[in-house]
Amino acid sequence: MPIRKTIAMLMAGGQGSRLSVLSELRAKPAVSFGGIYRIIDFTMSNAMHSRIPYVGICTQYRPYSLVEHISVGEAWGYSGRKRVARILQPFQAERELDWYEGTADAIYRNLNFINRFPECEYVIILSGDHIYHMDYQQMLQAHLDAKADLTIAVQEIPWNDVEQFGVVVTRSDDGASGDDDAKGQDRVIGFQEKPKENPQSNLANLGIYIFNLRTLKERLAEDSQTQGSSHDFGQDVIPQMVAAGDRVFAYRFDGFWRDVGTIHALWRTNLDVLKPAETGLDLAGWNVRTNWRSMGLGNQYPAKILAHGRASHSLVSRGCLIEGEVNESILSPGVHVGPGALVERSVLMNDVRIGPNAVVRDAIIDKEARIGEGAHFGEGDNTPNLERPHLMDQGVTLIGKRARVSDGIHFGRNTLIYPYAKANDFAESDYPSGSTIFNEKYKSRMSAAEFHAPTKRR
Amino acid sequence: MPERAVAFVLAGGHVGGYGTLSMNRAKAAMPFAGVYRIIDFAISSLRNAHVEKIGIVIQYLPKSLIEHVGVGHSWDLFGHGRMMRIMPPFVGIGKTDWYRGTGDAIYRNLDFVRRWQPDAVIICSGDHVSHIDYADIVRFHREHDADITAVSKTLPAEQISPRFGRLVCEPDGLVVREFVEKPAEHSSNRISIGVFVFKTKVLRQLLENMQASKGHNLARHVVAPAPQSYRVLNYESPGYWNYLEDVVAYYQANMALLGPSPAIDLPGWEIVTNPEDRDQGYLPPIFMGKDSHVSDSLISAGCRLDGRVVRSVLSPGVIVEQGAIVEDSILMHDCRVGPNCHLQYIVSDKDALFEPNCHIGRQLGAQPPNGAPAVGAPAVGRPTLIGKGVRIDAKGRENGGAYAD
Repeated sequence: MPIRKTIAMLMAGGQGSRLSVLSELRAKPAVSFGGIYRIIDFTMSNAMHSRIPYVGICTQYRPYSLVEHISVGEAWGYSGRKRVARILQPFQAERELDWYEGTADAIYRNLNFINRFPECEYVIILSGDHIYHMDYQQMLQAHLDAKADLTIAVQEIPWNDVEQFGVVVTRSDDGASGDDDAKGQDRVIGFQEKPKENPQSNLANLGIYIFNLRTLKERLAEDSQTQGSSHDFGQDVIPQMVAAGDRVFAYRFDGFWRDVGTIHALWRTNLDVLKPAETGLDLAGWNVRTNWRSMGLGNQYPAKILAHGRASHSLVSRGCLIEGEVNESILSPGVHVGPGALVERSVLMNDVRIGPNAVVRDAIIDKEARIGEGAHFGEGDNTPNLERPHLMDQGVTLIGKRARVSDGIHFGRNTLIYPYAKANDFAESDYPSGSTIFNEKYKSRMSAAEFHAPTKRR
Repeated sequence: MPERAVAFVLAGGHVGGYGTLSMNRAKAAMPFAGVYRIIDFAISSLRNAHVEKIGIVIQYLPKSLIEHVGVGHSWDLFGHGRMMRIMPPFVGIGKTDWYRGTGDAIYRNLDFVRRWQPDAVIICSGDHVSHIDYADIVRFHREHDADITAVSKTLPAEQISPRFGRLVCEPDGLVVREFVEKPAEHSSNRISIGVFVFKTKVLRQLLENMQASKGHNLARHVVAPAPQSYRVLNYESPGYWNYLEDVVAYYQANMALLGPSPAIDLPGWEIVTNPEDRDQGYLPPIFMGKDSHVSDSLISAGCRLDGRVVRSVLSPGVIVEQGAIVEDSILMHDCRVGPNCHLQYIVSDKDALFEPNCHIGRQLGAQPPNGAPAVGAPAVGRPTLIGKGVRIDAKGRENGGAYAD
């Protein structure tokens, strides 16, 4: 089986800055999704169900949560002699730079790992940023059928959305070239990055690539010598391959696939979980696996709904205690909804506490945040967030990790509350839509961290 | 140092009073509070007291227990001197192959004691729901230089079952004068809860004596004769203890978990289970569909609820379909309740299938109707019991499904 000769390299290094305070504290693939999962679980589960035997996971930005979570990959069946998953951290070697410069550089510098498995002939490049369910074996079959050097997974999207994606320009091979293997296939002839004018295609690049290993090694070696290259697959290596006449084909995937890279997309896609028949996002049917040990699921009590509590149309995790009412929401383990409280259309991460009689609508609340008694969220007009107007303009409120929201305060929509915000950060009792509540300590810590990011060491 | 004590957990017993529910497993393996099994109380409490070497004595239908206990790593009883061993009956030269009683079971596993040379051996029951501080009991045992410490509880007379042993103490309440196993008449309200700590050499001597007298029961032939020649002390356990004598007691204990501050506090007592049992660690969160309504209940991971669930305890993987109502019931793993079913006051074993439109059980507290349904044949006050893997058709009759396993 060709899949037995395939190694997956999973790119899990990105920060995902559009997720605001959620991804400042952890890499985007480690952001919580669907109650008990992290975003990367979807790709890991796909690799497992597709029977890919080897997986390398390239991390970079704040890897701690990921290292802990992936561990040795046992949760996805990666244990034993012929099934290996490894975290591949940037390292220092003959080169002085110890950070990966781009996605291609990350692979180039981990060729040693790939070479450990001499039977491998194919490399599938994956991203840990997306929510989807895909059998990579079918894509590999298409790759083999077209005798391709590289196959790129694409998805047809509405023309209105193309400016948010990298799109792949293709030409259907009519067989006139005499190339029987390519006949009827979509040959890739170009790329457009987030085209605002004159889009030539509505096929979004899903960031899933299958390379022949031999070709990949050659092209990576060339790219490493190329002056001015940013050593990125999408920017440099793949356009160069297309230009040089390599066999590059598109593989159309029409299943559920979402980039949850924005606050609104993360919120909406979480709620999509509640309507599997309509949306196609089916956690149970896809058999998504997470590392229950790292997620602390092993010691959780069953969810408890008390006599005056009500829960409906929601996803509720182990260890939740519901004394109030919960509708259309996603609750991670250990969430407590106090008596008389109402939670609607919201995503509550681990150990969030909603005080008695509080009302929370259209919110994402990060871990261990506490909402005071009688606090209200999600009423009022749709003024975009004043600090991050492009990221938070569709009504969703974001409350950062361990924020303590004082009793009785009312907030509009598009509210942003910084992580670790506490009582003296709340000067008002009524905040209109679009407000941001800062926490100076967090802000200064994060900006200090930016200065400490990639440094050269000698 | 409690680390130097080893423990035996007696988990081999079959009990009456549980009807079809005990056809598949020992009582210690009964599911409890959705995701736990009763033996989790004993194992977790021992582990919380830093007892690091534990033998689990099994006999009756042990498969569930063997899978559940595994190698003990769910309780951190794995690696570097920490261990949990399953102790099934075995055949050897000149020995019969079944344990003839609890004393016999310990006698035949004395190798475990010889190997580790503990100063104290804890013997406890794996089929009680309890909160017991074993560290304090062992400390007491050593400080008072007891040969045997018998752990007791004082109960009101009406709660005392004839199956409990009694302790009669000296006026100081410390020294046990008499240990009466299953007495005919009431001599004391202080009952034995089946937990003992022995000095190792005293245990060996008493087991040899038991062999000589052809006895085989731990309480009757080992502990009961001891006060004549050994220092047997009473330790009154202050914590919760419930024998769960029959399925009504079992039902009530589960339902008592639903209130705001239940007397049985599993998270507070740090009772943990093995999430690998039926792979429940990997189950998704509870999915509550658009028309679901869930209230006053304990619901485990992997349940999919599209109907109404009230005052019930659901184990992992239970499915309640559209229009179905589940009230006052306990449904174990992977039961499936079809559309428009109505379940009232049911205790169902795992994997039962309720076909669409079936009505089964009766209102809690109601008398069973004349010509009671074929399944479970509920007596007055008892919940209707459904066997493992049974299929119930729309008329509430058992249909096709055998009492599996």
